[in-house]
Amino acid sequence: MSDLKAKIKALIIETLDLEDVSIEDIQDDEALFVDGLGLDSIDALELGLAIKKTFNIKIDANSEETKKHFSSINSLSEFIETNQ
Amino acid sequence: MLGVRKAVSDMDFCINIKKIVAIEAVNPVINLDGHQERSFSKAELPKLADLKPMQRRRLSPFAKLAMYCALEVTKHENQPLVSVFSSRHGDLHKTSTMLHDLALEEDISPTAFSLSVHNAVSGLFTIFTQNTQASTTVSAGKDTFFMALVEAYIRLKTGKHEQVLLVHSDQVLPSPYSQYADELQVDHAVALILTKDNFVGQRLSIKKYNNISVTSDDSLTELPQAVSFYRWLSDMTKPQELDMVANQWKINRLNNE
Repeated sequence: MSDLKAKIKALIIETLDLEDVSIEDIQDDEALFVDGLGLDSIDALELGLAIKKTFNIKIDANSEETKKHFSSINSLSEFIETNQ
Repeated sequence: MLGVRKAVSDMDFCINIKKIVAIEAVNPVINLDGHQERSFSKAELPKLADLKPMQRRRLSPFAKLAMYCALEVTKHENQPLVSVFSSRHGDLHKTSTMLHDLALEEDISPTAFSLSVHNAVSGLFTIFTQNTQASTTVSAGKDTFFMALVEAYIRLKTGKHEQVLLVHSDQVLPSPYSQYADELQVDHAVALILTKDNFVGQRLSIKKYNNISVTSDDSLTELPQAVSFYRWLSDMTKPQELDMVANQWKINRLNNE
C-alpha cells in the first residue's frame, strides 16, 4: 500500500469517527460512498474539508468530476497526487 | 371599554410518571475559575451498544447522554411515543467549537453543523427508532426542565395520546462560558414517560409560585432542576414535598387516584 493511500485511509477513519474500522478494512478499489464503506453525503462534505485542509487542495463541490475523484481510495489518491 | 386585566395565575397541575431513567456525572473536578463541576470522561459515557456503529459515530457526548436515557426508558414500549426534548444550553460544546472556528475564519465541520440545531437529538432518536410521532424541543433558561414538564402535560391534556416521552439533558458549560454559570455544573440526562393513566406510576402535583422574589446567595452549588427532581423522585425516604425555593417550584407526591 502506498504511503499516500494509507494516509488517506487514516484521514477517513479519523475525520469520520469510524470507530470500528481499521486501515486494513478499507480496500483501494472499494466504493467509499453508499455501497462498500457506506459513507453518506455529509461524510463527503466532511472528507472534502479534511482533504482540503490536509493536502491544501481546492475541491469544486458541484463538479461531476469531483464525484469520480471521491469514488474510491485509488481515484482519490490519483486526484491528490495530480493536484498537489 | 377597558377590561379588567386578570392576574396571571400561578401554574398548578398534576402528572403521572410511569418510568424514569437518569444519568448524572458524580466525580467533582475544580474548573479554571475555581468552581466545582462534574462531567463525564469519554470512557464513562454510555456505550449505546444497541445502535449500529454508523449511527453511533456521529453522536456527541451530549447526544449520547440524552440518547441513552431515551432508549433506556422506552425499551419496553410497543408504540412509538410523542416526545418532548429539552435542554437549557443544547449541545453548547459543539456550538462553541463552531463559533471558535468561525471567529478564526476557518471552515466549520459540515457534520457538526448538520447536527447543531436544538432538536438534533430529537431528530436522531426518532430516525433510529423509526418514530414518526410529533416531537417538540424546549429551552427556557433555568426553568427548562419544568417547562418541558408543562409541555408534556399540555400534550397529554390536549392530544389523543395516552403517553408522552420527555428527554432532558445538559452538560457542564464549555470553558469560554463557565464565567456565566449560575448553578452547579453537572453532565446529566433524564428521560421519563408520562401517562394519562392515574393508576400507573407516581402521581405528582406541580406548582409554580411567581410572586415571591427569592435571592439565592449560593447559586453555584444549586443543582440543576432535573437533577434535584430525579434525586428526590427516586428516593422514597425523601420528604413528600420538594420545595425548590430558588426556582419557585413545589412538587408533591400524591397517592394514586
